Amino acid sequence: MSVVEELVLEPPTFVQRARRGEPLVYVLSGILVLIVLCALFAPLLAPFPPNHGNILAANLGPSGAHWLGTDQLGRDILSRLLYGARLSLLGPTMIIVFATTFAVALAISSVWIGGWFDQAVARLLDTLFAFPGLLLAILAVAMIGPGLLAPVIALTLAYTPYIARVVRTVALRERHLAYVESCQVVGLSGWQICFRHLIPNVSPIVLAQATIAFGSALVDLAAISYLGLGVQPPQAEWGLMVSDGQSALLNGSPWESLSACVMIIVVVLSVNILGERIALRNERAA
Amino acid sequence: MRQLARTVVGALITILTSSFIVFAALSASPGNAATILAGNRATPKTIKEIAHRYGLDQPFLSRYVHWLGGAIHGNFGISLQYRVSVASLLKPRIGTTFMLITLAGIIILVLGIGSAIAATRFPRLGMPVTIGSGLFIAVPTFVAALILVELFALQVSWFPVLGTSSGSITDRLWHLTLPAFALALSWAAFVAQISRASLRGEANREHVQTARGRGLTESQVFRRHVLRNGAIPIVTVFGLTIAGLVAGSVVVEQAFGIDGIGSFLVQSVAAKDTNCVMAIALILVVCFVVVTAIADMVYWLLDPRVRSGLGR
Amino acid sequence: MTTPVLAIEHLHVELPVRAEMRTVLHDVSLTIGPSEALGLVGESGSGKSMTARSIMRLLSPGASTTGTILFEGVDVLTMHHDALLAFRRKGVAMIYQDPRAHINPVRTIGDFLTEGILLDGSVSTAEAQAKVISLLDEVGIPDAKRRLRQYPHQLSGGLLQRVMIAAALSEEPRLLLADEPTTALDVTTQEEVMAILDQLRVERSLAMLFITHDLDLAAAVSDRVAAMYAGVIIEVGDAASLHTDSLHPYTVGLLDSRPEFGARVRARPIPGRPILASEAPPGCVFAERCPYVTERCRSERPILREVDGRLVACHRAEELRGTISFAGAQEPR
Repeated sequence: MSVVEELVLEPPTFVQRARRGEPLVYVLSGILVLIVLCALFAPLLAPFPPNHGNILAANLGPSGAHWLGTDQLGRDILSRLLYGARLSLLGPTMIIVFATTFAVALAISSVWIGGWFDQAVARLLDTLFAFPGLLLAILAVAMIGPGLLAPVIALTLAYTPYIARVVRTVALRERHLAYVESCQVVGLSGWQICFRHLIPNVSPIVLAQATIAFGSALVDLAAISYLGLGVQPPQAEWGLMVSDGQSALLNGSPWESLSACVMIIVVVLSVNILGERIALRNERAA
Repeated sequence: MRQLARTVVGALITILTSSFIVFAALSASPGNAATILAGNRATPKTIKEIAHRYGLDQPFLSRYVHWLGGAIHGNFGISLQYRVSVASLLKPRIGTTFMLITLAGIIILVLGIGSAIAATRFPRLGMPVTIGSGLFIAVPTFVAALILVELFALQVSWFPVLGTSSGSITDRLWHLTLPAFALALSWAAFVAQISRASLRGEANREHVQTARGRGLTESQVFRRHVLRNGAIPIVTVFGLTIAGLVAGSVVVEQAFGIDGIGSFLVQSVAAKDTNCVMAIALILVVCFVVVTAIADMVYWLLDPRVRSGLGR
Repeated sequence: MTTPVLAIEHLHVELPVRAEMRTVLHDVSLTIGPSEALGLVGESGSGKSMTARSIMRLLSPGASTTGTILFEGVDVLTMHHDALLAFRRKGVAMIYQDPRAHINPVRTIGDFLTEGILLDGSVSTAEAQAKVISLLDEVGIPDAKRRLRQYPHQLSGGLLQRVMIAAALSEEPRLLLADEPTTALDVTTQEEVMAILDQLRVERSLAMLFITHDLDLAAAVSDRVAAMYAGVIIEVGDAASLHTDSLHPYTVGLLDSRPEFGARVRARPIPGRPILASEAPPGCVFAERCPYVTERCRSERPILREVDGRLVACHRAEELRGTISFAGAQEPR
């Protein structure tokens, strides 16, 4: 008889929920929504065109005209930051959407079919899991060439096992619950059971895992651009801006690099904490 | 013994498969490589000659066997970029990268596991560790590199800004300190979170209560029961961490202008020097597989339940 | 009169639950004399295990405790660090309900058994091993040498509980706390383990607090039995009389609710559900379920008082004696 058993479970009151950090969730979601809006409405919000620079006004500090200063080509850093949000967020979004789709399809079908197929898939996922996405992405660039395409394909491949492993574990547990069997007895087809019951039941876990994976994918993709193998200049992207501003930083004007650094950290941090909260809520619900 | 054999065989199969994939995906089309090697003003005839000399006119499978055979003996062919053997280019760089990763590994061990232990033993430290690890885990390697340079090399000149030193070991370590910290920071945070969760879970186990009830001191309880048992999940992320460090070293070397195999990989990719890329890819694959295999073995040694074929 | 091995007086325990303190024990008083076995009986959640944990000072951090727990005249609750360690090492030993959870799964049986003996540093490893091997013989585990090298998952639950008993005895304690030692075991091994525990205790004339939900079992192995409900001791008496002639309605209900093989009368559960200590009303904790409840029962909590050589916490103990029955009891509103 443990302490836990002696407690009566009651739904948490509003105050308790607030104390557990739910306001943080609203704040972080707010920040993310704001950044997405900035990306969508960059043309309206940006004070200058992103690629328009005045070489005579290069490496300026913050001023009334250029809130975050200008880069080494005299382009407005704030405008590039806003436009940069587009490519910086689009890449990881694509990766996570593709990877989640593949992962769920692979994991569910592997669990449903079972037997040697499931064993083989599990083994494959484990092996793939050992390879860092960043290196796969670099090798993909070596194969296909620089740009967004190669890293997106490689990182989709790299993040599929990250999500699929978790889905497989949960689906495996669900698969052997009595309700699946009773669905079969009632005469639902495998497809119907998978779509109506298994997938909805694993979706909270998928959501948590995908949210956290989004942060890592963003970091990997920014790193590829930072290395000069991803998004190519003169396009604006945060990882690229960090490397673009590096020489300016060494010469004493850190604004471009640091502002891009801050954007990356803010997004990754928010996404990580949100993902953890979702995972925590799932755990509580389970 | 049987477990060891199984691990080794599994690792070999993975290496063989990956080497094939690497070769199939990356080996340049034979004509292309010969053209690059022959130079700008080559006639079709000289290209053909060169292709023949390097065995580039052979069919795909025999080229693969030839490449793999060479690779086993440390012969990765000729760099298309520098026209010298790939091995001679890699040899000095591997040492630098190895040193960087080892240094980062030590930092992770001390900072990551250390902070987790501290937070478990002294609950008062829990909050700072939670906040610190949550923050640092969100800082990408290249961002950490820039921020560290800005803070410790530019604002206060404690460390050199860029480059490697060819001087004494201490001087080389000196140059690698900031890069190692940049590389280690987010992984240390990751390891801290994993270790903390594991140790905390273990500290709440009933058998720990038994030990406490027998009159063991808190530090004995922690050492013998919490740490020993909590180490098992920590070991399982060890392979992942090393792999992540290897990948991260590419970025850090580029950021600090260190001439290791990571920055050389990026350079080779940019220059389409496929022989170098393939060589580095193969070396890294072997690295990952070996590290994963070691982690598996240690896990197996640490957990008697796995050892006797019982799932966790 | 000799000093009792254990004397709990007015023990009141509250535990923090989600930043709120909840009572788990109300004013518990118990004594165990030298070489006496006291059975502590109650439903799950009644506070039996909490009592044992309080004695060991193993409550979760943040727990608030008032009252005294005297072990051989010394208050456990105010013991300082070294004294507490010495008390846990040499004074008391506990046998837990679930041996599989309470023995470290990644250390060998040998490690587990010798750990307690080796703590002083006065015994060599070889001596400790020899001692442990003879103990394993005593608890009926053959081939002890080989067992020492095995891991917990390689042993059955019954064997593991014997290991736990051996481990408890290895420290040569003066008080044994047995917290439902057979509940987690197969029915077939329960009796064997219980017999070994009982025999070894009697041989060593150890004092024991025996916690169980099984009144018959408690009566069989204990000298006296205490019944507990919602964190309150409601009756204490010698094993035989508590069994045949209980004074408190709850104890009677507990006896009636046992399923008995081949019995003519059907087992009658006590109507209503057991309450937690934290839900206890101001009056008698059993008032809600008692068919003999009066106004006084609801407003004034009865204290444990002596009736005919036994202790009972019921206002109407004398008047109801021998007449209590749940036969016609209705489910209370």
